[in-house]
Parts: sequence; C-alpha cells; structure tokens
Amino acid sequence: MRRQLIVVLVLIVVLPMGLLGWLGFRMAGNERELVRRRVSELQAARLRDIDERIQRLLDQRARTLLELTEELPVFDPGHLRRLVRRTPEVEQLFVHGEDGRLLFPPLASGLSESERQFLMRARTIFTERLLWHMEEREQSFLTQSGEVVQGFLQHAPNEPVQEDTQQLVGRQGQQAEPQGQTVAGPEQATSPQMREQRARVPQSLSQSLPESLHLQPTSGYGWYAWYWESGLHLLFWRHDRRGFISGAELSRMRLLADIINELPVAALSPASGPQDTAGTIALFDSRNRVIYQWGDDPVDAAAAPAVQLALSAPLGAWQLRYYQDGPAEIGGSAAMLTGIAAFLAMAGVLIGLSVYLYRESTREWREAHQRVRFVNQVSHELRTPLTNIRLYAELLEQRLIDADERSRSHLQVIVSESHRLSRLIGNVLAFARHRRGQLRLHCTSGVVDDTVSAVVEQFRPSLEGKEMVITLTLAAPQPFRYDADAVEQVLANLLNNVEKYAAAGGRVSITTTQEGDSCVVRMADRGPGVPPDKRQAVFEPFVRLDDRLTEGVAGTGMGLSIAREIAHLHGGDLRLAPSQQGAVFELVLPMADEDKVEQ
Amino acid sequence: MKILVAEDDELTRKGLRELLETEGYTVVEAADGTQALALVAGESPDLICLDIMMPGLDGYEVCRQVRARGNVVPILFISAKGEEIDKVVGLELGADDFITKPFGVREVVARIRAVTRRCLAARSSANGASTAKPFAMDDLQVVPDELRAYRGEQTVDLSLRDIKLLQLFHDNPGRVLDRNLILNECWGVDYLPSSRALDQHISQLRKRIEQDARSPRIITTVHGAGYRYDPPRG
Repeated sequence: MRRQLIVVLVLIVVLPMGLLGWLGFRMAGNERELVRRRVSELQAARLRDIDERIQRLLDQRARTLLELTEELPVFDPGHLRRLVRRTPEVEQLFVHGEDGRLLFPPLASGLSESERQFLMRARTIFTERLLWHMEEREQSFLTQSGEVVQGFLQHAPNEPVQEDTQQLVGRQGQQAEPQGQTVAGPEQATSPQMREQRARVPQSLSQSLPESLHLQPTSGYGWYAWYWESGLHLLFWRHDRRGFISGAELSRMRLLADIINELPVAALSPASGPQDTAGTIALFDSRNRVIYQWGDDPVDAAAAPAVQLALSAPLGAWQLRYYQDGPAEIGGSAAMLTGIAAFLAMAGVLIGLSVYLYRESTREWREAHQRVRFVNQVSHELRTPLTNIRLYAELLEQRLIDADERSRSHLQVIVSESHRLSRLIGNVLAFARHRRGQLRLHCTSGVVDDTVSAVVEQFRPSLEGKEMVITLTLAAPQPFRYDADAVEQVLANLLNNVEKYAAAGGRVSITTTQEGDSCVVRMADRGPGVPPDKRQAVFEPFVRLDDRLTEGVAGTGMGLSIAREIAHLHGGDLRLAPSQQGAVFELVLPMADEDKVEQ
Repeated sequence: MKILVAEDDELTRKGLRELLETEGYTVVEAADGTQALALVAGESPDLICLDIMMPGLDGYEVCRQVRARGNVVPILFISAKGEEIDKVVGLELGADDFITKPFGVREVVARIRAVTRRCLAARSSANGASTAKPFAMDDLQVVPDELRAYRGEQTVDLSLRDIKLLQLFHDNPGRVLDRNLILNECWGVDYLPSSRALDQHISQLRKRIEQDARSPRIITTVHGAGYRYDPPRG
C-alpha cells in the first residue's frame, strides 16, 4: 500500500514535470526559431536595401549612358574615342549596325589595344548578334505583357531565344528570396533563378526619363552581362532612331568602386535593434570570391551564411551574404531561462505537494503506530505495578487465613479494587488503541455461565460487604461464540451500577437462560430503579472519554452506551425491562453461527 | 520440579517465587532474557515462566532460541501485552500458555498445575511406568501425575507440595511425623518456612481433602508432636 502510494506520488511529480519540461523545451526552441527568423528577416531586409542602392546606382548609370549614347557619331571614330577617354565610367563604346556590322570600333581602321581587347571579350555578342536578338525579345515582351517591362535581360549565350522568351514571359513579379538562391557556375552568365527574374523598369527611372527617351515599341535599351576570364562584364546597350544598337561597356573597376561607394559604411545601421547581433556582410562574385565585405573578421566563403541574397539583375551572379558572429543559439536564452525557472518552481510545488500528501496519508498510519507503541508502553507501565498490588494482596490473603475478619476484609478491598483498576486500565487502553472507541469483538466458543460466575465472584466481596444478597441462577450451559472479555465488562458495568445505586435494595438476582437461538442474562435489583423518562437516556453515550474516566456513574470507564454497543455487535441487545421495583437489565446474545457475529 | 521465572520487575519476580515455592516448586530467577537463556542451559528447569517485555532479549526471542535448540520444556508467557496478536505470536513461537497481567494468584496456580500435569504425564509415558502411582488415603484417591485427588465424583486439585505431603503421610501410615521432618521432606533444605506456615498449609489442605476439616480423618494432629495419617482399618 505504501509502495503503491509512493509510486502514485512519484508519477504525480514526474509526469507533469516531464510534460512541462518538454513543453518548455519546445517553447524555447520555438522562441529561438522565431528570433532566428526575425533576425534573418532583418538581415535580409538590409541585404535588400543594399541591393536597392546598387540598383539605383545602375539606374543612374543607365540614364547617363542613355544620354551619352544618343545618336553616337559612328563615322567619327576620333570623337568616339575622345568620348571614351572623357568618360571614366565607360570602358569602351560600340555601335552595331542593323545589318549586323560593327560600326565602332571600326574594324577597318586600326584598333587600339583596348578596342582590340574589347572585341575579343565581346566577340560572341557581335558575331551572334545577341543584342539584336534581345531587341526582338524586347518587342515580344512588351506586346504580350502589355506593360513597360523593359530594362534588362539576362541571356545565356547559347540558349535558344524562344525558350528564354517563354521563361521571361511566364515569370513575372518575382523577386529574389533572401535565402536559398544558388549562384551560377563560373561558366554561365546566368542561372535559372536569374532567368526567372522579372525584367523591370524602376518606376523612378521611367518617370525621370525625358519624353523622347521613353520607351517605345521600336526602341529599347538594357544591360548585358557576360563572363570573360576575370569575371563579370557589364554592357549597356540601346537602340537608337537610326536603327543602330549602340552602347558602352562599363569599366569594371569604376563600377565596383562606384558600387562600393554606394554601399553603407557599416554592415549594421546605427538604429540597429536589440536583436541585432554582430556579423559580417560580404559581396561575392559568381566564382564565390569576396568582392567586398563589411566587418572585421575575414569571411569564410565555405561557411554557410545566415542570410544570402542574389543581387538584382544585371548583377544577379553576385550575392550578398550575411555571416553571423557569436553563438548560433540566439534569442532563446531568455525563454530557456524562463522555462527553467518555471520548471524548477513547478517541480518545487509538485514535490512539496507530494510530500505533503504522503505525510497526510501516512499520518494516520504513523499516528496509529505511535498510538500502539504508546499504548503498549503505557500498558506495560500501568499493569506491572497493578500486577504486584494484586499478587501481593492475594499472597497476603493466603498468609492471613487465621487473621481477624476486619483484616481479611481490608485485604479483600485491596484485591477487588485492584480488579477494578485493572478493568479500567484495560478499557482506557482499548479505547486508546481503537480510535473513537470503535470496539471490535474477539469471539471464541464459551459458556456464558462461566463468564457470569467469574464476574459475580469478582464482585461478591464488595457486594456482600454492602450486605447484599446475590442470587445466581445459571441455566445457560450450552457453549456458543461470543467475546467473553467484552461480555464480562458489560456484566461488570451492570454490577458496578447495582453496587453504586441499588445497594440499599439488599438483593441482586442474576439469571441466565437459553431460549431458542438466544441466551439471556438477566440482572434485577431492588434499588430505586430508572425513572420512566430516563429509560432511554441511560443508554445515551457519554460526551467525551474524559467524562468516562471520572469516578461516578462511569466507574469502569464504560457507559451503558458502550455496553449496549457490545450487545449490538454481537447481534443482540441490552435493554431495560419493565419492572415494578428496581432496575431489570437484560443482556440478549444470539447463539448464532459464526458468520452472523461481527468481528 | 524446578521452575525458571524470567521477569525484569523484581517485585513481580519475588512474588511469583513465593507463590510457586508455596506450591512446592523449586524456583530459579532471571532478570533478563540473556540470564534466562543461561539458566535454561545450566539449570534445566521443568517449566519456564517468561515475561515478554524484558531488557535485552525479550521473551519472544528467548522462547524462539529455546525451541531452536530443540528444548521442549513447557513455557508459560506472563505479560502485560495481552492483545490477541501477542498471544498468537507467543503460542506460535512454541509457548504452552499465556497469562495476561495483572493476573490472579489462582489463575497462575491453575495454569501451572495444568502444565505440570502434562509434564508428569509425559514423564510417565517416557519412563514406561508411572513414577508415582496413585494411592488411596481413606476414601480419597490421590493421583500424583494429575495433581488431583478424587472422592467419588468430587475432584480436588492439588499442588505439588500437597502431593508430597500426602505421599509422605501415605508412605508412613500410623506414624507421627514431626514438623521438622515434614518440612525437610516436603519443603527441602533450601526453603524452610516457619512451622506456622506448615500448619497453615495443612489447614488449607484439610479444607480441600477432608470431608469435615474440623474433624480431619486423613491428616490428624498430634498435639505437641506433629501430624499422623491413620489408614482405615480393614
């Protein structure tokens, strides 16, 4: 039972704590994930901000180049060369005729070294007439979408035009996701993601352009990016009124410097929030080389960035990456601490509750154990001197056979009082052992006549000392099961009452009979009897044990209420029979089978 | 017969000693369980009166160890622990009877006599013959092994000393036995009560065995000399 109780209490503590711990762990994990996402979003927003700055730069550069390349004097190469030299943003100008001939740089006349190198880099563009193909795509782009969608196109050198058109038409409005974008290989100018990018004209650009430059179905412009040896090269092209395609290759160094100039000084803005953590932002090219980085710590290109964003076209091969410094676990520490605190508090409460419940539930057992131990100890301590009183009184009685009557009478008083004290102690200890005076019977087979005789003999000296005549008529020789000690106490209680209240009557008659299934012990005296209005009250229980212990009516420590309870426990009764003189008590005990008697 | 009284309360122990010696037993005393075990081995008592709550080894443990050694000496528990479970435990451990304190002298005497009868009967059957044959004194039939005497259907319980006395008188019919002799034979050199106690004992015995104690026929008084048993003539 105790083991079961302990198991239950342990489960009461362990199960909720396990659940709470699991929930806390989940909560902390969710908190960390939430914070991580917020931080990622924050960083992604910053990267997008950087990307927009670069886009604004490119838009500005496009405006500049649109003006610069408006009707370039193709037949004046010197002018064009001087223009190149005067324009540091430009690496090289070009004019491509509608018949596919390259008008500038002039192939027929001598080429400068830079022009030669330009032609080497851009050979495929011109030989394949890629710009012309793009221009055609521009036309279909406008027609099908019905809106201004020109700006730039990214094009893989060897890809079919149709496919690109379909892809570009089919995908609109998508912007680069902060994460998950893979960079194209170094041999490709574009990646599938880049092809998916929506060609757009920033609203600011279309509004700022002069009317003459506003896009018309037959004119277009854009960027063209391609790879050559060292990296990405960017080319601006436009279609002029003469039907030529002219443009400029941007200076890479100047472009990079301008881009870097446009970028924020620090990776984090001054208004960074409390969730910002230290980190490094780096700009990578398509070959996974760091073009530029913010922050002090060198970036490990192989490491996984917290956030990455491919730049908008035409620099879609480049990526911005944010690398977080410090521990990977961010933001969940507060939740973890809160969870741990709640866990410990709950554990404390549950453990305290379990201990309290255990102590309460075992308190009854402990109290009973203490009570039994106390009773045993008290029993031994009280009964030992009582034993000696009785033993020596009886030994003295034997020695004083020839003593005078008075001496013998005194001795008898000592002996009978020791008997009474013994019964009193027995009742007190029995009451202490069984809380609230709950009585239990210990029935054995016996003869009631023997029990009655024994009690009468105990009281004979004191009764005869009060000049009472005892008439004993025993007619219950048949043995049956009853609690002899309990019945003896009932009879002792009755005789004690006779001695106290009915001694003046001078006579008490005790008879035993066995009629049918019942055995009746009848005790009749000639005392004042019980008043009619008290005939039921005499059986009422006394209020407290203290009252029962006091000298007076409850001399033996038991009231008639308990005497009646003993009778009821036997399945019988103790009643006050009607009588004309004195009190007549009848104890009825069923001579029943074992099963019917409460034990 | 020798009885070991193991009781830690000195007054109870001394009181029991007096009671049992009056009955005619030789008594050895033990104040605790350890001493009791030593006396069981050293004195070989015929009966043990054993208190339960003793310092050191309690009565239960003494009983257990005595029985564990194969000793079947009768054991009578005398204890203030009178709950049913206490009695059951004691009897289960091998005790022969259980008396609850406070006890009456008569109750102790009756139970010890009962155990003594069983002891004597066991000895008789072990020896193959009765160690003390029944004998008749006047119309009284004395059965030593039962510690009883019979007169027709009337039964008289006798103590060991009573048996010794009657046996002494029966073995010396017609002979006046002076007090010293009676004391030596029936009380032994270790325990010599006063002659008054002897007179009181005989007086009490007469009340039980004589048809008329005021005119005794079995044990008659020879004034100034002692006592005598005169067998019936014929």
